[in-house]
Amino acid sequence: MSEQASALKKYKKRSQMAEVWLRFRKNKAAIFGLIIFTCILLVSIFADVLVDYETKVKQQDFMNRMASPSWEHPFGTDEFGRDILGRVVHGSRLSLAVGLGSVAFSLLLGGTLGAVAGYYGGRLDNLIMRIVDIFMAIPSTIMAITIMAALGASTFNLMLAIGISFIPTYARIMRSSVIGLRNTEFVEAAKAIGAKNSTIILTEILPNCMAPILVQITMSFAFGVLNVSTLSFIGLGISPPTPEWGNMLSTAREYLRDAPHMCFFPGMAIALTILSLNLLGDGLRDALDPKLKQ
Amino acid sequence: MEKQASEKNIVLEIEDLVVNYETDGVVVHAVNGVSLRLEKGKTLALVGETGAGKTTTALSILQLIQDPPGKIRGGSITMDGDALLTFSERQMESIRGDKVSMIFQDPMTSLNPVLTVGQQIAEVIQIHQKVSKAEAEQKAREMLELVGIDGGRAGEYPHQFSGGMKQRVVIAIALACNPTLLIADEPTTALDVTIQAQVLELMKELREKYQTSMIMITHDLGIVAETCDEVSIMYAGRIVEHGTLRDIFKETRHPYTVGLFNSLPNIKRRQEMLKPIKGLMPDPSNLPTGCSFHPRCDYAQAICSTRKPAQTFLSDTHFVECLAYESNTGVTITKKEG
Repeated sequence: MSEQASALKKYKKRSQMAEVWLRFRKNKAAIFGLIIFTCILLVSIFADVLVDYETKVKQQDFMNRMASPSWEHPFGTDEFGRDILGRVVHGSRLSLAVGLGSVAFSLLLGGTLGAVAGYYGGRLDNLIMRIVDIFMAIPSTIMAITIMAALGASTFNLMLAIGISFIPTYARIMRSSVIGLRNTEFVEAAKAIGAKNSTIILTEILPNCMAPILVQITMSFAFGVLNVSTLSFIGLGISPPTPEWGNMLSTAREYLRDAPHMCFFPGMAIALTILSLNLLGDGLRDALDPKLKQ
Repeated sequence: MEKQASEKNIVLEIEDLVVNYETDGVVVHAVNGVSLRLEKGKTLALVGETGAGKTTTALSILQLIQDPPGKIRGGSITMDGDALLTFSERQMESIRGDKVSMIFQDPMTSLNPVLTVGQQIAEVIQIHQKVSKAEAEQKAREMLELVGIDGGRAGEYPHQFSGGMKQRVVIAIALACNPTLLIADEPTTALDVTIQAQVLELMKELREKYQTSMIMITHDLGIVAETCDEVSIMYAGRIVEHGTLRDIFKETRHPYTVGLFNSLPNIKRRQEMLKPIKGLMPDPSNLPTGCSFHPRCDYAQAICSTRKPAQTFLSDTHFVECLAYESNTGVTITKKEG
């Protein structure tokens, strides 16, 4: 009897999120990605606590230029004798912030465009999606380079430049989800209780589109981080002396033969971040897909 | 329809409603001049085959017909003295769910899978009444209790409920704002028979409690007999026979209605073969001339294909649209057996 009751209780407690988590947990690679990404996130949030900016990141030490990793400098030092560990830790902040900002920007704009196009359909849909198609036709890196060249280098412009290239993806994903949901009976039922179109989109349709959007967020976040580094590497993103993985790589490239560690650590940071985000995204996609439900 | 009796307390009056679905050159005549009126607290059944225009009639009351291609081309719908067809979209939004509610056919799909049932009931309350979120949620729990579900389950999702319970939730949403008119579009088709009885009983109980009028769309004559006061038989977008429950069930007149009854299995004469109505519903984009039922009618004469039948009143409450009941048409219906 009590066993039955507890079984019932257990069943009741299993909300949708809990079920997704159960499925996610079984995926070892995804859990690995989640752990790594959480670590990177924590390091970047608490960068100031972990490494002092003034003494470790800005302090130059010309007696100790391009030193190999040692106890004092676990990642070694760069061409001005600055601690690479400190610079990698602080560099994560800008990469992640710009990555996140660009995702938020494109999600907001692309998601809204896609939802409106999908929900209202017809001529408006055609107009919006053709404009989106034009954006899609331009390679994202070239687009970002053009925007940065036109607007000038600043953190905000960087977010904008990277974010714009994600807009088509979000618009398309959102539009297709909304079209699939637009004619469902529960949307009709919501109309029958007098809900406004905006209410229907926000409260009835949007929660149903979360799965593909969530996966896309992790994927494009990874791509955003990569793009920040790419732009910084070619000198259009964040310029030295501000530490950023891309510009660190860019200067380290010149000393590749003499001090390979200068390239190795920022490169590893980029690779790890993107790997963890991709693993996380893959895991989420599998966990959120109800067809794979056991 | 011009009966003078019971003029009082008319909740809904539809006059000559015409609804077309118009796509590239093809016009589908879904509803061709439907008139009906409904008194407060009464239940009207709209009965007919698939495609007879029942749902279209009901949806046009709420103006929820998909446009394009659906267009209301004529007639008037009056509710409590308001001409609904002149209302703006915003005015309609304030009526939907508040004065007129709708129960959809399939409770599995008419609830949003990612919102809790409590949220979904609270939503309609928040849209129409100036209450805080907490109050709306409290009211939602009360509505759940009212339809016989433990209020503590308000935080659960639709997939945690059975079909019958989901339909109860849908009924709770429909009745949350105490509507004057409830439109039930085949509310029990998706449920199994034992649950059907429970749900129908519940609807009846709640309607009597709140004096709600109801339009019940169905093709199940058993449900009609159990729950309705008046019956309108629809065929090809017209009401071909209308009367009280007794008129239709005991004094069946229209050949189509007779055919509907003959299509039901009869428990008393089990050997008897079922007699389905021969043929199919006419293509609504290309309706037959004259009486639209004549190609399938056993008693059809030449005149049936040229002359449109008018409403013939057999009593104050009972009318039929068939040339056999009009004088000097030469059409007669000979009843073959009891």
